[in-house]
Amino acid sequence: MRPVVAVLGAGGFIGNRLVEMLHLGGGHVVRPVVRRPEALALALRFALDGRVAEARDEAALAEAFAGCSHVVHAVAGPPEVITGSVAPVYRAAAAAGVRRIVYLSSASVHGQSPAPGTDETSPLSSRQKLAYNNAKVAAERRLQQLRQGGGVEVVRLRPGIVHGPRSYWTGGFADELLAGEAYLVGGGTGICNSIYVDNLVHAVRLALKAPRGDGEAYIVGDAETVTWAELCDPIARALGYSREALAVPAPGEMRRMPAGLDPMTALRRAAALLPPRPRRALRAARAAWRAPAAPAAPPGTPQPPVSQEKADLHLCAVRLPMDKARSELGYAPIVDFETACRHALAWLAFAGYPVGDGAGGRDADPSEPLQRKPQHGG
Amino acid sequence: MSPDTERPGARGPALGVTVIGCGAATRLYAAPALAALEGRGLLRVTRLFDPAPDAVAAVRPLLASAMPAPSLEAALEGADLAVIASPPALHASQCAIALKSGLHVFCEKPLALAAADAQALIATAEACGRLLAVGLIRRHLPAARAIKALLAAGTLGTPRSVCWFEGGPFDWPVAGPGYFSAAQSGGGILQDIGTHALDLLAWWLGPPQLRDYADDAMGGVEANASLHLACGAAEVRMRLSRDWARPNRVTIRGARGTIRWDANAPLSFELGLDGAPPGLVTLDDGAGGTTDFVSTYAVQIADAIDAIRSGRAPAVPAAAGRDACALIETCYRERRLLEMGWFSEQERAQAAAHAGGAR
Repeated sequence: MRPVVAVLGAGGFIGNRLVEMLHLGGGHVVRPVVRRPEALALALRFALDGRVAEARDEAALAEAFAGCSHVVHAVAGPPEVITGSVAPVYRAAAAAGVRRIVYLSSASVHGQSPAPGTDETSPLSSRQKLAYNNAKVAAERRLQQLRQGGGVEVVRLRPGIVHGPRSYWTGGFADELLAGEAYLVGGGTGICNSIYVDNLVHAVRLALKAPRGDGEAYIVGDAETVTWAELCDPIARALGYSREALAVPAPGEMRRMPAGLDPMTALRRAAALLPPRPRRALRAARAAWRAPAAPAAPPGTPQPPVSQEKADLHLCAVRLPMDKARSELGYAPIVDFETACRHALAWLAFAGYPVGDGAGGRDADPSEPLQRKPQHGG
Repeated sequence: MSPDTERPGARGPALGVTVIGCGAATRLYAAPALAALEGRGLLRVTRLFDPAPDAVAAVRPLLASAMPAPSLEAALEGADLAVIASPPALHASQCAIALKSGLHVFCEKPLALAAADAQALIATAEACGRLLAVGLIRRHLPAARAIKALLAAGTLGTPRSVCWFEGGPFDWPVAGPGYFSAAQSGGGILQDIGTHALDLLAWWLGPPQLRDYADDAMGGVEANASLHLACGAAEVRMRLSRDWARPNRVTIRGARGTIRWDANAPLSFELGLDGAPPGLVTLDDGAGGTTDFVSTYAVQIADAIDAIRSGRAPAVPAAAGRDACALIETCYRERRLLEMGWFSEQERAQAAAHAGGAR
């Protein structure tokens, strides 16, 4: 009998890929669970039993988990949702007779630029600069407490930079490029602790069934050690940008763009007044509007504002180890980095980015970078 | 003469209107539009019907004079015009009941899920001597009308190509998971936004011929669709998505120029002629007051009321709704699975198996 797996947060990009791979893999019965029914748009391309439950609503979660043997907690959201969802999910899983929860934590619990020697045994701080990191630390700790007093097993996974179709690091980076807002602090020579989304889903599959793992946390990543430039270059080239097109703020350079000087401020304000669907379209249009006129930014081009989080990430000097996941879960990445990049470009073409023909790129070979400036719209 | 009397439907006593279906489309667009028309004395909403009491309760504050009806039949009693805004699978049957009960009907798109059902409705309306109008709202947008006029005047020369991208992450506030089912909605993004897009395309450039259709339904309903069509000499590439945001834009290129329209922008588009870069064209809203979707919704209801009173045809004939149904039927019949190049070989095989009837 196939295990019935509830994917909580199925509307997110990791949750969506979990649904795709678990369902198409055939080894699991998948139950997508989302906060709002409209978030089922991608999951219900398949004939699945989609459910609606807010991640802090214990009663709704228990109903959604009924009959499930496993839960994957893949909810994204603000810190209060990250921390506030842990106990309701655990209790609801217990009430529904769930055997194991796989919790998608984050390598961010170790900070964006961890110290040399960092591994799963390293102490976690809840006094980090980013609220997101602290929330993930608090969530892990709370889960451990709940596990000690409860019967549902818990496996925590700590992925780093999850890239691939529909991810911020792929689609979001493409948007930033087209908007003239992309940058690589220090030129992107820092280590990117990357994990292609398929590799993460593979780690989840292992964590669902591994004999060991209960109560443990695992860092997971791609097989290769890659830099930020190596992650971003294929996307930039495919969209017709040279490396020189990217802003390269010096390490430590942090600037904030005054809102009044931002030429798109009016559009942003207008977007806030629109209903959701036009608002998203306007956001995308803004990205196209701001697209540079040439692939390489001319000298003196204003540089985009730099976030502290990205600066820390881009300057990371440490490759996080995944020996524990290898030895205890049997984890080995199933997609190499080169293939992952090729798949990411295939998705960009599918999504309508100008890596191929303007109506979706399906006539283009997405592995072939285009040597032309970006064309936008239609 | 007051401004109101210059607008369609402004003459005569207020029509009694019943609203069938109180979901998001009614709550966000139809109800505010009907309330505005009530304020102008054009109509009075008498009844609201929806099997979900919560849905009715959410709309009632917007339409103070309307009372909940316990059944469809009760909702139709005494009304002149039925506004049908229920799930698409119910449109054909509810429209037929309303027409046969002697009401005029304004039906949200799609008119039906099958072209034969839409044609049967048109026949029923003719037999009953009642108006049947369909909510293809975009035809009422000033920008869409201006583009139609420019194309009809041959401003671009012979249209050569159309590129159309529309959509983004789906965030329409649907009532529940059942919305994403062929049984309730007749399909996914194609049946939803596609109905509007294909109708506008046909209105602008003539009946489209389908060359190729692909989507990503794998046992459920599609979130992404890709269409290759021909309208006369124009090659049309249309990409619809409930998945990821890209600029929602329609680009029409002709021998002499280019029109670019941000889909749904009511009052603006770009026009470039004779090699000049496209410049922004901004329209005023004229006498219609069509500045957003609520006011445009009001315009189309007012047009239906004027058509009822004057006996003229509505601005958007029901046949347009039927033709959109027919093209969408053809698409689904001819569908193939979209290429998803990031799937593994095993996933592709399984996706094809789940897609079932796809070629």
